[in-house]
Amino acid sequence: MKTLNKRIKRNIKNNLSFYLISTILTMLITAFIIAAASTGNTLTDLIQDYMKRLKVENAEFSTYITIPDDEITRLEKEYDVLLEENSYKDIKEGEKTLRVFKNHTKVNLSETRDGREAAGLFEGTLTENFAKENGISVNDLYSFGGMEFVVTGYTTKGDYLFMLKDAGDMFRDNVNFGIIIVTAETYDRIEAEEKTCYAVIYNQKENELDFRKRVNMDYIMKSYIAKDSNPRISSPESEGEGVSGMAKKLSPILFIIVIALVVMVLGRMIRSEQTLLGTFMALGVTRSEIIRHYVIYGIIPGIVGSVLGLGLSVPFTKAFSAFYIENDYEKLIYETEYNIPACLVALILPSLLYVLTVLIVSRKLLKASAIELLNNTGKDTKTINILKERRIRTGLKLKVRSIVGHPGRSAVTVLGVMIASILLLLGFVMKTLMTDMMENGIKETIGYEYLYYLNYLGDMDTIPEGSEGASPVLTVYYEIPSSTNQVNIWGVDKSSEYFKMKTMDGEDVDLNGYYITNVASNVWKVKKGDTLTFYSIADLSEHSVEISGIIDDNMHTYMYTSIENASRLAGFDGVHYNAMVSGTSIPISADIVASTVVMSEHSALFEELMGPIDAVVYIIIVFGALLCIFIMYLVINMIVGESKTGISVMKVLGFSKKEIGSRVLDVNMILVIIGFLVGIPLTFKVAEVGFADTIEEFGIYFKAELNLRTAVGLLIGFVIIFIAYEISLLLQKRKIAKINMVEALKENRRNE
Amino acid sequence: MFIEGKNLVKKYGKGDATVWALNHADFEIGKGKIAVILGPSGSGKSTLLNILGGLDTADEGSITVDGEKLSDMSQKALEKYRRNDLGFVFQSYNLTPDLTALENVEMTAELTADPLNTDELMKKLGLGEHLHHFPKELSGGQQQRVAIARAMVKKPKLLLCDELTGALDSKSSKEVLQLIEQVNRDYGTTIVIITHNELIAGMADRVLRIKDGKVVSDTVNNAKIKAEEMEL
Ligand SMILES: Nc1ncnc2c1ncn2[C@@H]1O[C@H](COP(=O)(O)OP(=O)(O)O)[C@@H](O)[C@H]1O
Ligand SMILES: [Mg+2]
Repeated sequence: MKTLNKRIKRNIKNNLSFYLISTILTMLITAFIIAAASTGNTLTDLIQDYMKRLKVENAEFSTYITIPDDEITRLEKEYDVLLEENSYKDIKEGEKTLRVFKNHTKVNLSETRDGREAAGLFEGTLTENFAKENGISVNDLYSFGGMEFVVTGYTTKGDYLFMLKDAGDMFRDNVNFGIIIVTAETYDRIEAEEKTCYAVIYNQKENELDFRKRVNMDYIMKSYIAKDSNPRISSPESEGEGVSGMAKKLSPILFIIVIALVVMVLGRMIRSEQTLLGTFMALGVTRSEIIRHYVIYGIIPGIVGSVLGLGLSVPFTKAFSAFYIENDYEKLIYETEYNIPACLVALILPSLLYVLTVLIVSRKLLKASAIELLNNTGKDTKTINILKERRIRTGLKLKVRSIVGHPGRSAVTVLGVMIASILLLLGFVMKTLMTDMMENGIKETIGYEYLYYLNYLGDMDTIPEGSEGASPVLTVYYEIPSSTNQVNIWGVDKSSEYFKMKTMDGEDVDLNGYYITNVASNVWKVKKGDTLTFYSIADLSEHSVEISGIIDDNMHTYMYTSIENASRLAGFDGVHYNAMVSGTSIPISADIVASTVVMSEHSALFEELMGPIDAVVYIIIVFGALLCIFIMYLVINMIVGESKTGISVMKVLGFSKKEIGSRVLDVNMILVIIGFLVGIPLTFKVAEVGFADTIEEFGIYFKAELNLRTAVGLLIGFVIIFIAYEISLLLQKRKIAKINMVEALKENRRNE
Repeated sequence: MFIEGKNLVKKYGKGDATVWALNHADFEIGKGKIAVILGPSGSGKSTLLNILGGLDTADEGSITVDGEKLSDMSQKALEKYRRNDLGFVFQSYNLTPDLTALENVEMTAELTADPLNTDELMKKLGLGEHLHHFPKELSGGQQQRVAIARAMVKKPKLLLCDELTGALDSKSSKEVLQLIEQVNRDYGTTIVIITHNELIAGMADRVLRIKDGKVVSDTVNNAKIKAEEMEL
C-alpha cells in the first residue's frame, strides 16, 4: 500500500498540469453556472417584489371622456379592480423633460430614499439617475422650467423602473428625462398641459375584457397598454426572465460540455496507466484498493474545483447582479440571492461524474488479467495499413498514423478544440450580429429618414401645409392574442416612393395585401399564406388577415398594407392618416406634430439599447477566451502526455527538438483546424439559442449568418485559438525539454 | 583508450537521504570490444550508461569517448553525439508503435547522411519476414532485434545496451546476444552491455563489476565464449 500511496503522490506531481487545469476549469464553470442562476433568481425576485410592493399597474389607458371620481369608485367595486388616475404634467426646458406626478395611493406607488416624501408646497422627490446626471442632491433647490423645487429625497416609481419618456420609446435617457413626485397642491399649481390617463390593477384577471368594454362604451377608449406591452414594466420583468432563461439554457450546456471534456481526458489518463495497474495487480494489491486509490484522481479536481468555484461564485454573482440591476434601471434596493439547487448541482455533479468515470474506466481495465495489462502499452493504437509505400518519408507516415491510428485521442482533441472554439466564438458572433444589426438593420428596410407623428387624425383630402414630398401614413397598434408584442399596422399610400419594398422571396410588395416583417413572422410564428388574428385595442374587436408575404426587417414588428385597408381595420369612415414620412426634413407646423423620429438618430440610439446585451457579450468573450485557453492547454497536455515516451525515445536517438516537434506534435494542428471548423456552425446555433429571448423581449430578431463581419470575427477567433495552441505547445515543449530522458524511459519500464 | 571514465560521481537527494548512484567510479573500455558491466539492482549501472550516452551528466569527474570529453559538451553537441556516434538499445525496446519494423529503422536512417542499407541489415538480423509488421504484432525477441537494427543502421561507433535481455526468455535472449556479437564482428562497433545477469559476462572481452556506485573489479575475460554456447 505504501508504494501505491507514493505512486499517487508521484502521479499528482507528474500530472500536475492536468490537475491544475481541470481544477481551474471546474472552478470557473461552477462559479459561472451558480452566478448565472443566482443572478436570474435575484433579478426575478427583486422585480416581482417591487411590482407587488409598489402595486404596479396591470394596464394603463386613456379615454376621450374623463372618468369622474365617483365613477372610479363604482367601477372598482363592480369589476373588483384598483383604479387610479395616473395623470402627469411634463415641464420642459431645452431638451430636458421633467415629468410631474402626484403621489399615488392605490396603483403605481413610489419609494422614497435618502430623505422624506414631499409635504410642503414646491417640494418634490426626484428620480435618482436623473438627479445624479444633472448634479442635483437631496435638499438642493432645483430650478427647472421657471419653477423651483426643494428636493426632499430620491424616489423610484413602480411603473417607471425603466425610465422611458414614452411607452413607445426604445431608449431611456437619464440626462434628459426625470420624474418628480409632488403633493396634489403643488401639482395643481404647475402650469403645463396635463396628460390624463388611468392605471388599473385587476384583482380578478377574468374581469379585464368586461371592464375594457365598459370603459370603451361609457368613456371611449383612446389608448390601452397592458403592462406586458409596456417596456417600462415589461423590460425589467423580462430581463429577469431573460437572465434566468440564459442561465437555464446556455450555462447548463457550457457546464456539461466542459465537465464532459474533463471526464474524457481523465478517462484517457487512467487508461494510459494500465501497465501500472497491471503491475499493482501482479504485486497482489486488491482490486478495491486499486480502485479506491484511482478515485482520488477524480475527487481532487472535482471537490477542489467546485469548492473553489462556489467561493468564486460569490463575487461573480455580485458582479452579474450589479451589472444587470444597477445599469439599466432606476435605483433598486436588493440583496443577492443564491440559487440553492444550482449550488448543489454545481458542487456535486463534477465530483460525481469524475469519480464515476474513474470507477467505470478502472473497473473495466481491472477485468483484464495482470498479464494482459502488462503487455499493453495503454494506448489505443490501431495498426493501420495505410501509406506503406517505401518512397513516403517516415516522418509523414508517423504524422498521418498518429492521427488516424489513435482515434480516441484524435476525437477528444477535435471535440476539445470544438468546445474551445464555441466558447470563444460565441461572444464574437453575438457581437458581430449586433453590430451588423445596428448598422444595417434599420436603414436597409426603411426608406424614409423623417417620421412625424401628428397630434390629430387627418383626412386624405387635406394634406398639411408644407408637407410636399412627404407621404401620409396611418400607424395603429393592435394586440396579438397571447403575445406581449403588439403589431403596428402601417397603412401606406400606394403611390408613395418610400414603400417600394420587396418580400424575402424577391416579389414586389402589393399593398392591397398584408405583409409582415421577418421579426413579426418569427415572434408570432406565422408564414406567408397563414392567417394572423389581432384585436383593436379600444373595442377589442377581432380581425383576421391572410399574410401575403414577409419583408426582411429584423427590428420592427410591423404589418404593411394600404392606407385604405388600415383605415377600414381601424373602423374609420373614409381614409385617414396620423403621421407623415419623408426623405428630407419638411417645414410643417410644429403645432400639429406630436413627435418626430429621425431614423439615423434612431439607429444611433439603438446602440444604447444594446448596451446591456453588449456588455454581456463582452463577458462571454472574455470568459470564453479564458475557458478556451485552458481547454486548449488541457488537450495539448493530454497529447504530449500520451506521446511522452515516444518523444523521449526520439530524443535519445538523437532527433533534435525541431524534428521531434514536426514529427509528433505539429500534426495536431490539423485536428485543431478540424475542431475549429466544426465549431463554427455549432456556434451559430448556440448564438441563436442565446438570442432567442431578444425576440420576445425587444422584438428584435438576430439572424446568425455568415457575412464579411462575422467572417472577421471568426478569423480573430481562429487567431486566438491558434495562439492558445502555440502557447500551450510552447509551455509543453519546455516541459518536454525538462523531461529527463532517463526518467521518461524509466516510466515505461515494466519491472520498475 | 576509446572510453575513459575518471572519478565519476553522481548523487541523488540531499543530506541524510543522499544516494551515491556513482561514487568515484573509474573505468576504461577499448575500441571494438564488448564490455559487460555487471552489478546488482540499484548499484549504479544505468546511471553510468546514461552518462556514457550523454543522457545525463556527472556531478564530478570526467568521461571521454573517442577523445571527446562528454562532460565539456553543450546540449547541442550531446545531441549531435547521440545522433552520429551512438546506438541505444533499451530493455523495453521502445519502438515507435505507429511505424512498422522497417519504418522504425528507416526513421533513424534518415538521421544520418550515409546509413546502412536497411533491407540488407534487416535481413542480416533475421527480420526479412517481418519488415511490414507493427511492433505489437512482433514477439519481444523480434522487437529487440528491430531495436538493434534501428541502433545499428546509422553505423554508430558505440552501442549501449541497458538490460537488453531483461524482458526476454532464455531462447530469445541468446538469439539477441548472438546478434550483438555479429554486429561487433561485422561492423567493429564498440559495445557496452549492462546487466545484473552474471551469465552474460561470458561473451565479454572485458567485465566490470560495480557495487554501490564503485567499480569493484575490472577484468579482461580470457575465457571468452560464444553467445551460442552460453547457458542462460
Ligand atoms: N532520478 C533519481 N532520483 C533518485 N534516486 C535515483 C534516481 N535514479 C537513480 N537513483 C538511485 O541511484 C541508485 C542507482 O540507480 P541505477 O543506476 O538505476 O541502478 P541500476 O541500474 O544498477 O539498478 C539507486 O539507488 C537508485 O535508487
Ligand atoms: Mg538499471
